Amino acid sequence: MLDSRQFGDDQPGQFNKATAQILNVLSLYVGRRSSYGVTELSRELNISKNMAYRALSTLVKEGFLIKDRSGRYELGFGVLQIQDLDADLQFDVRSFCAPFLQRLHKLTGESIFLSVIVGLNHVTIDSVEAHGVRVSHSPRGLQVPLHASPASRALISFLSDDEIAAYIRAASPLKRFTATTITDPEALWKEVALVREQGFARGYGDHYTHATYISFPVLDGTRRPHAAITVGGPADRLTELDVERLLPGMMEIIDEMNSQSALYTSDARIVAE
Amino acid sequence: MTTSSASYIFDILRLIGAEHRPLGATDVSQRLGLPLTTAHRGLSTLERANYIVRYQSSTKFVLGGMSRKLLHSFFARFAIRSAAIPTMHRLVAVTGETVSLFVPVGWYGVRIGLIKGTNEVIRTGPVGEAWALEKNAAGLALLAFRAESEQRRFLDAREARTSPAERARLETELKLTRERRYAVIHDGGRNEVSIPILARDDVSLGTLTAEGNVAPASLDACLSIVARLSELVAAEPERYRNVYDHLDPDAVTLPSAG
Repeated sequence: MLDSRQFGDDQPGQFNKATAQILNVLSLYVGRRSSYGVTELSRELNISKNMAYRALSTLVKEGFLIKDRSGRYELGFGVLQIQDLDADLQFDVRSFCAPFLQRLHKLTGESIFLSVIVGLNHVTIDSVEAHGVRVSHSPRGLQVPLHASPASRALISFLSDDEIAAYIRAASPLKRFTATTITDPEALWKEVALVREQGFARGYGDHYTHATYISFPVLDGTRRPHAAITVGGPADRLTELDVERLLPGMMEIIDEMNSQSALYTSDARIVAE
Repeated sequence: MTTSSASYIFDILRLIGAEHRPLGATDVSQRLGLPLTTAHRGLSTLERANYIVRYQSSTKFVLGGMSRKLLHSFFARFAIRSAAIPTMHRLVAVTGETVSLFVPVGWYGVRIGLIKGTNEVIRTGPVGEAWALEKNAAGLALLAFRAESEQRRFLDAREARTSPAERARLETELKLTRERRYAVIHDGGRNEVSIPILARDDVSLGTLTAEGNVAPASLDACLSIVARLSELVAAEPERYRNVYDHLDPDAVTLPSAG
């Protein structure tokens, strides 16, 4: 535990609970709502209104919060005083997603993959593998066209219509990998609409067979994709019914992740040349 | 939980944010005049909340993930940032220079986005830094395309601190900036060119600045690239409104500003 750790100056690392609560309030402003009222905050953190008011007042006094037009509390300019020289727009999607891959693995017990767009394909750049009989990761560097596999469709569906049309033009005729690979552009557009609506892509055995897959996009604030996260397991262990049962828990993790990834701007793009 | 009992925590956080080097309890204690035990407690509290992390498993600390996320949450409040990123990439491609997005906050310009240039030598500040409006090309572009009444207010307040001659010089610079539709500052063999992103009423919502040495031949292309972004944001004024424009500029103080 951190609070039992010894510092270099031989002092135990105690912490201040009341101040920690104020930091908890400030942390709520990361990737969730942009403003809070006193009542809302007391409910969110399960603290008294008096305590919520005092925490907010402290953060206002310190410049980390200000009141907006309607009297609610929003982020203030004190944040700029904890400026970080490395905090530019470079977003390390692999380290950002790593804890969420672990949480999805813990929830499902199955293998989890992280993939990004490279050219006209997706490439898997990280994974957490299940034990025993499992779905193994794609060889690093293996390129899978953006119309095949759920990871590809979770990525391409959140590009603009113009970009998807450009992909179809550049990749046509769409390559068939299995009997269920979507090779008809019209069918691909229908799938894109479905993925956009439901927020994830299912596997149809359209790239690999014998396994069940579901893929979720990692999105920026404008709902463009940073990456896709895929959960996959052997079809006899991870059935479609299992996926349905696990879906609410997976969505909870994905929603939390996307509320944070929205802070960073995606530079995903297809390169059709 | 009183304000005074929490203030030292934020003093420690600000100190670590300002220093840009790892600090330990002894450094904090000496710099802020705090008892060593208080410095330990403050660091431990900030570490538990992930506002700071240990530097390479040592007893010294640097800013942590939560501080970084908070800063990005602040940037994300400006919808114009997401809209501007593709344009910034295009400007980098045309100029080769580092391109930054500045937005107006009170009488300051704050750098909320940055795409590094492709040239071998780059020069730029970090995102999150703030500059008084008259101090750089971004500030001039933001000020020149501000409502006339606000410009006058800024110049009146500044004249009280400087001189009528200095005011006249700045007024001329702003007039030139409006005519050219961009601001430029030359510094030896380098220059800074800033092109405002304009709303329908010709007021700047932000400005894109290329720092390095923008060739005059590429300026027309840059102006036309930013003009397309202006059209986009002008079409949705409520979406791209500055969320802090309800504040009195005089009430906004950024102590870290240059």
